[in-house]
Formats: sequence, C-alpha cells, structure tokens
Amino acid sequence: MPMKFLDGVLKLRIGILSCVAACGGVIPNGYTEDDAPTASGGDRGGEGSAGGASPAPASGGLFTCERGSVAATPKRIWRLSPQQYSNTVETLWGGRDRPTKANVERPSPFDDEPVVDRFSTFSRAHLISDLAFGRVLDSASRVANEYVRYLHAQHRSCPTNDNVCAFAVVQEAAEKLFRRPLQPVEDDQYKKLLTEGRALLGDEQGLALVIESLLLAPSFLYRVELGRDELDDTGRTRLSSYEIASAISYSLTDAPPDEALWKAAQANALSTADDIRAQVQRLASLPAHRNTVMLFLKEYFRHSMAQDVFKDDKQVPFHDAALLIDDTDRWLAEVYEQTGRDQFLKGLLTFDQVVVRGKTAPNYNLEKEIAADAAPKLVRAPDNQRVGMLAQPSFLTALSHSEATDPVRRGRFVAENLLCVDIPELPIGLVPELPEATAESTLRDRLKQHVEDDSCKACHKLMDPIGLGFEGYDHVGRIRATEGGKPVNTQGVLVGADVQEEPFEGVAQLAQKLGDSSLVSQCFVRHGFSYWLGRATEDSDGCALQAVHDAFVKSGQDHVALLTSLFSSEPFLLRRP
Amino acid sequence: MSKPKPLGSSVVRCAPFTRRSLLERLGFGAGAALLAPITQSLLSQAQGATQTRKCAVFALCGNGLHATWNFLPQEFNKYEATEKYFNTKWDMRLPGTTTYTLPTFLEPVKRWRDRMLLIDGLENKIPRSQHSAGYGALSCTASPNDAAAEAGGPPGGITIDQHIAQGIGKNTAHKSILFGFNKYKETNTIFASGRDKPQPNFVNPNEMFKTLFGSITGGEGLQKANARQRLLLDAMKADIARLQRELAPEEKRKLEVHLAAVEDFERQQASLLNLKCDAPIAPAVDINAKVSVPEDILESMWSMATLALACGMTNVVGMACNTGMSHQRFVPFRRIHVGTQFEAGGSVPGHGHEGRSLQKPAMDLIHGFNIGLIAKMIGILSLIKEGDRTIWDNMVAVYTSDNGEAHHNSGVRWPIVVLGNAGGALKSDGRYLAYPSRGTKVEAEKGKWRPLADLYSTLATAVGVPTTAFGTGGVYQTVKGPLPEVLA
Repeated sequence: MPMKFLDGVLKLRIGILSCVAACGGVIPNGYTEDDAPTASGGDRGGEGSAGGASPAPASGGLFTCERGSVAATPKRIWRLSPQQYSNTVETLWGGRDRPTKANVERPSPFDDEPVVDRFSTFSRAHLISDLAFGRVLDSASRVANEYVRYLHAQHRSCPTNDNVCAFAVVQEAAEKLFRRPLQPVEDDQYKKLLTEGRALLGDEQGLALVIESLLLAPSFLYRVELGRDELDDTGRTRLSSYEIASAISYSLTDAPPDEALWKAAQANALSTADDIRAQVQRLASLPAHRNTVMLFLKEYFRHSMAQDVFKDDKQVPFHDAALLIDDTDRWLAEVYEQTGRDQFLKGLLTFDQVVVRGKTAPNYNLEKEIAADAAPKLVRAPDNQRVGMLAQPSFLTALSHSEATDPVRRGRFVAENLLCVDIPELPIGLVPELPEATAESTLRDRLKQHVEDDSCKACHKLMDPIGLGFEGYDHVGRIRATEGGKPVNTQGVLVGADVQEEPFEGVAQLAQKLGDSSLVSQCFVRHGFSYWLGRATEDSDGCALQAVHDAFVKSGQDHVALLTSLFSSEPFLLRRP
Repeated sequence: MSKPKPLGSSVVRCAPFTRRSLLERLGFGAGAALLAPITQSLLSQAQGATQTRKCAVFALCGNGLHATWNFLPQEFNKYEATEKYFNTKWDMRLPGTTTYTLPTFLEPVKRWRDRMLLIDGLENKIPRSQHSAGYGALSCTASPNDAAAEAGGPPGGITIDQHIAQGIGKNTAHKSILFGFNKYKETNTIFASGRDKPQPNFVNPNEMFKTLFGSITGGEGLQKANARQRLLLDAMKADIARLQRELAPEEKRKLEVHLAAVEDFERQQASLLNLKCDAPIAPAVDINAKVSVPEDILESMWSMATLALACGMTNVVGMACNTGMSHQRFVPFRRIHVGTQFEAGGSVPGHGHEGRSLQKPAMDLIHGFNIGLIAKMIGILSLIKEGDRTIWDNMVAVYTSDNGEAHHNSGVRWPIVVLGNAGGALKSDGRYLAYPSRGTKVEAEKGKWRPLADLYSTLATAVGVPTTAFGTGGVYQTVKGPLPEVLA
C-alpha cells in the first residue's frame, strides 16, 4: 500500500480510522474496518486501500507509481450500451462513418443500466437477463428482416443457390457488427447455417436467419477484450488492433470504429502511442465525442438526482427540477465548448456564467433580470453569486431534503467526488436524530451534535465543515440571506485537500480553492479513469494514473490530453487472464 | 386438433369452462376481454393428471400501506398515533385477535376473511430513502450503493419471490412471472435474484403477452418456426461456449446469466409447444403499451398472470405498481376516482403530503383496487381443482408496500396482508397480529420484536422452500427464522 500521502491526507486517514473505532463502539453489527473511509478515493481496492510501504509518490497525492508494478485489466466482455447497440446496427445501412456524424435514434433492446458502484459504465453491471433476452431476440429478428429488405431494394440480393454471393453479404455484415473479420471457425459455422437456413426457409429468409444469428452472437452484443494469444513475460497480453479500435471508438463516441479507424486496425497501425494519439485527437473532434463527455459529467456531478427530490408545490411553486437539470446540461455543454481543451476542470468548478430561462430564473435569483417567458440563455450572475457547478441550482437541489438544505450530503459530495475521500454509509442501527428545530435555531446550530457526539464526529468532520459553507443557498438553490431569523453563516472549512484545514467563505471561494487544488485534479483523473475504463482503480494502476494526471496538468487541463494518455496506458491496452 | 398433452411436470386440472363462463368467472375488465380467446384455448386444453403444487404471489404498491390511516381496524383507533406512540404505548398482545372490522381496502377479499392475516409491527429497518425501501422491501437487505436509493438500486440480496422461485419454480415454464409499472421505464426496483442482480419485470402488457403466449398465437407454422429457432439458438450457444472458455470466472458469470436466459427461453418454448394448441386465436384487441391508465395496464397484466398460474406456467407471481420513489414515480389512477371526492380533480392523488383527510381515502381507493384484482385472481383459482383441492387452497398471496407503513417510512413497522394458508401450512385464521416494536416500553413485550425477514422465512417454508434465515446477506438482521404465530 502506498503510505506516503500528503501530510494532510495521511492525517486524514488516521482520523478516519479513529472514526471507525468510535463508530464501531456504538453500532451493533456488521460494520467492519473494511468499510472504513479511506483517503484512497478508489473503490475498495483502489490505491491506498491495502497495506505495505512504498516509495514516495512522484507528483504527490493520491497516486503512487511503484517500481515493478504490473498493470492490466482482466480479460473481459462488456455488453453494449443502448446507444452503442443502436450505433453499431446503424452501420449496416449507413456505413461506418454515419454514427459519428449523425445522431442515431434506433430502438435498442437494452434499458439504461442501473448504476452499480460509481458509474453506469462499469462493465460488471452489464448483463443480458431473461427479460432482456426476449427483447434481444425481437430486435435481432426485426433488424435482420429490415436489412434483407434493404438489400433487396438496393438490388443486392443474391441469385438462388449462389451461396458464395450470399456469404459475402454475411461477411460484410459480420465485420460491421463484430468490429473484426470472422475467424475461420466462425466462417464454417455461418456457412453451414446459411446453407441450412436457405434450404429450410428460402433464399432471403435464409439470409435473414444468418444476419439474425450475427445479431444474437456475443461478439456483437458484447465488447470483447481478450487480447492476442501470445503473453508477455509478466503474463499480460495486448489487445488486438481490432479490439483497440473498438475500445477507443466506443469510449470516445459510443460508436463502432469509423472507416479511418477500421482501416488503421486492418493495417495494424494502432501499435504505437503516436498511432493512438492521432486517432484519439481525430475522434475527439467529432460531434459524437461531446455526448460521451456530457454523459460522464452527468454521472460525475449527479445533478439529475434533483428530479428525485420531492418539493412541495405549495412551498416552491416555481420549482421545476427537469428544467433546472436541462439548464445545467446546457451549461456543461457551454463549459465544455469554452474550456474542454484548456482548463477544463477549473472551468467546471469556476465558470462564472449560468444558463437560465424565464421559468427557472427564481432558482437563480434572477427573476428580475430574466423575462418570465425567456428561452435558455447564458448570463453572468451578479456579485459572483453563481460560480461553477457547485452553485448550480440543480446540483444544490439534488443534495437537499424536501424542505431543507442538506449540508452533510453537500459536504460528502465534495469529499468523495472532488477529494476522493471514501466515506461509508450510515451504519445500520444508527438512527440519526438531530435536536428539535426551534424558530431561532439554524441547521448549523443543530449539526453541532455531530462534533459533540463521538459516534458521529470522526466521519462528520470530513463532511459537515465543507457542507456548511453551502448554507448561502437554500434547498432549491436560491441565495438566502437569513435562516431562522439570523444572518446566514456561510463559513466553511475545507478538510482533506492539499492543506489539511483551510477556512473559506461561501461556495465561490470554495470553488476557487478546489479549482487550484492538485488533489482535486488527481481525483478528477481517477474518476475519469474509472468511467472510461469501466472499472474501479487498483493499486497497480498507480503509474498509469500518475502519467495520465501529469499529461492532464501539463496540457493545461485539456481533456483530450487526459484521454490520449489514458488510452495509451497499460491498463487500457493490456489484459491479464 | 390433436389431443392436449400435460403441461410440463406440474400439471393442472382445469375446470371445463365454456368461453362465456370463463369470461364471467375471470371477472377482469379489459384484460379479460383481450385475453379471452387465448384463455379459452389454454384452459380447455390444459387437462391432465393431478398433481398439487404450491403457489406464491407478492404484490406491492408504492407510497406506503399506512399503518394507522388504512391498515388499522377502526376498533383500534386509540392506537392511531405517531411512530413514537407506537414505540412506547403499543400494547397489543400476541397471538392477536379476530374481532375487528375489516379495513376498508380489504372489502374485496372479505369472503376469505377466515383465511387471511393482517400483520403489523414487523421491522424492516434498512438504510434507504424515506420514500421507498426499493429491493429491500422484499430482500430485507441494504443496497450496496445508497447513491441511487431514491431511484431504487442496486439490490443487496435476493428477494423473497425469487428465493421461493428457486425452489418451486424450477420445473415450470417460467420460474416466476413479474410485472408492474410506474412512470419511468426503469421500473425494476423491487425484484432481484441476488446481490447486484435485479430481476426485471414486465412493464409492457404487449411484451408480457408475447413472452407468455406469443409462440402459441404466432401465425407461422409451429414446426417450421421451431426448426428455425433451433438453428438460431444452437448457433448462439456455440458462440457463447466458445467465448466462455477464454474468460476468467467473474466475466464468465455474465455469460452464465446470458446462457441461463437462453435456456429459460428454450424451456418456455418447449413447454408451450407441448400444449399443442393447434389453432390459437390471437387477441381480438391489441394491448396498447402506451395506455396511460394504470387500472387498464394492471387488469390486463393480472389476468395474464392469473392464467399463467391457472395453467401451471408458473408458481410464483410478483407485481410492483408505482413502486420506487413515491413522488415522481407514482402515476395517478384515472378510472377509480369516478364517483368519489377525487372525481373533480381527474385522478386519485398519491403523493402523500396531503394529510389524512385526503390521503386516507385516496390510498383506500388505490389499495382497494389492487386488492380487488387479487380477489379476482383468487376467485378464479378457487374454481380450478388440482387433486382434491383448488389452486387457491395451496397458495399464499401477500400484499404490502415497498414503502412500509407510510409515505415517509421509518421501517419500524411494516403492515402486510397475508391471504391464503398454503395448503394449511399457515395459521391464516383472520387474526390481526401485531408484533411489538424493538423500542417498546412495555416490559412484557420487550425482546419480542421480529424482523419482516422472519415472515418471509415463514412464507417460504410454508410453500415448500424450508428457510431458517432469510435476509442475512446484508449488514442488517437479527433473524430468528419462521414466526411460530404464523407457521402452522
């Protein structure tokens, strides 16, 4: 285990272990040290989660590059997402370039996956259950018949008994659907099926049967990442050029390889870092890429959860969570356009304009400035009132109660997602009860119990001091001046960042401090790494994470530099049994 | 038309319905009309040897089954109070009483009053949002990720329906039939076959119809279709087997799930083909998936599930209506409000913040409607004999909410209705049974609290899946096994 964290982080970790000891004393069962919060920021098994000494990290903070560490991802399969399914099917008609150029809307048999662990991309979550299987069957049948009709309309039907012609059609479809040429054993299998199918069902229906079979094959339904046959002396194998092409393409555009990438794979021209860099730079400039970044940011900031927090119409009649989420989605797109290639993370945390419309203006305290019927537009809020993602009303609503703010969850979000402190769930059997509210008491007053009660404070001291700095915003994101008749107190303390404890006043100041923090950029890289690699980080990923972070920082926070480095890394390219 | 063959290993002796009498006895509205032709075809042909089996039905509706507003018999109104009152003053005594007025929403099942239990006080205190326990309602385990708690996932362990299905669903075409709906597509927030393994439920009546009865009603010649399907499935299984050899165990698991789905499908098809329905008639009316009237969707799905139970296609049924986050996911009911105080508003509200004066009658209507559909199912199954008993004689049906005792649920008490005695294995004798809370101040009641998981162990045991400790996969639980007050 890498032991040499920054001083503040090390102290933090010690504090957390104390927290577990304290909590363990009052919680009846099932709460072990394994559940302890760690400063590693990874999922269980992330850096810093296991014991052992190690050299000091080169760039300090979350990552340690241990000499001799052997990084790789297990051989795996990864079921296509709904969009990936649609885009891949679309290549049958539109060709390989179409999905990266146009928005494909084609039915998919898959639903959006429930989020298991941190991100929806985590490959282990993607299964084909019995109910999904029925839909896969239906979809395959529909697509196959549609494709055969399309071939017929294009005068590309094969003459009766011409199995050579028919198999050429199968091969072409298979290469698009499998994202690789057919293997010899598959050649034999599909030739046999074609012969049997045409005999049983006739020429066109026989062909449709084989196309349907391709659409039911795991090589289509899953992204298959097995690597080549030969192993290196550490027991790892590199992905084949076709697998690399698919991995890069689906990661960057949610689509299978376009024509240029396909040709590069055919020519085995994805073997060097320069080869990969050129392809990543090219694909990152395509319109489809922006969508994948937006999906990452949505899951990273989780502002869509605003829709799941009930608000009473009588209390906040203007509040419309769906519109607020849409505002933030548009805002993220704007930040991406303006800062995606330069100071991206800092832009996300400190961009000082907002997207607002007439119907959402009250949440932004801009009802006087924005006409009630105004369409969404980019404006600068006065007095630095809305700086960065943390001041977005959708985000603030998502981390609120129905009728009150929730400093604990707001603080926890920052701790976990920006500082990579992993905080365990509320222990079973512990019923959190704050002192009764009075007309004069503020939430800050009532939360004092968290620092007075031993069973609470070890964990809450990592969340509450940060979250209380958000108290200038109410439960739907409006700026407020008073609470309980008293002037609202927006003082907070940033715990667990580069400096152990750093006071701040309000969210704008917090955002600036976070935007300047090396630890925050490392944490961002860690989450990006997990999202695009589709798994939690491991100890052996330290060198790769460090290299990706260095590339991100040196480029001035260019997200394409981050992805280029990530897609050239050993965990991305190598597989272990 | 060839002579009908027995349906799988679990054979149903169906009553000799005429089409007309069947419709009358089904008693469903839209659903029955849509399914009448196929119903007749199936039931009339599913004759065979007698072999009894046990069945279990789990039905949940969101927004809470309010412990005092809806569930508590009027004689016990003195107990109607806050959770705190419940903790300190509750002095109902086991083994319960049968002298009470049936709560309003249970009117449709009053004829089976002596074969039901109303159980209150069981604890299911797992971490969750206050608006839904999600999978925890039936699994009694905590989700491994509370980030999406309001949105329902992921499951912390197997749910009781699937636990039972693993035992008594092994030899049926469908190990279980799960259905339901809510506002969002991702309605799958209730059923699970294990930790991190959500078990999807039908949300689309069309898809449910096609899966359950499609191969019988298809226009293609059955033999040719079967041969075609055989070619496809064999090719697919060969592909899966080839890939499986190259993967590590964790990755193989994905293909195992995939392969299990293929095999389930094959089993279903084989089982249905064995029915030898030579000329099945397609439904007269297409079931429109976009119907926004919850009552219609539920009626059609319940009628299909009832038919599947009647014909031995499954032994386990699960229904989840408006489950999950009980604000945004709760679809207003739009038919049952007619003639009530809610008619002017156009629907029955279900949000839960309206207070007793609105919320009690609203939820009485909604729960009453759901119970009415269960009553119709029981009515039909009580007419179909298996051996010397009816299917109803050998089954148990459970009705509760994924949100426990209220719109804002605490998990301290979990009202639940148990219908049926599973062939005499349950002491379902009409009692109102209240377990003391963990925090009771009544000296004689201390330590007698029991978790909901123990009731689930009881039910599983009663239907032939002996279970001593259900719901222990998570961090929660001091389980003690089946409840002696319930298990015969």
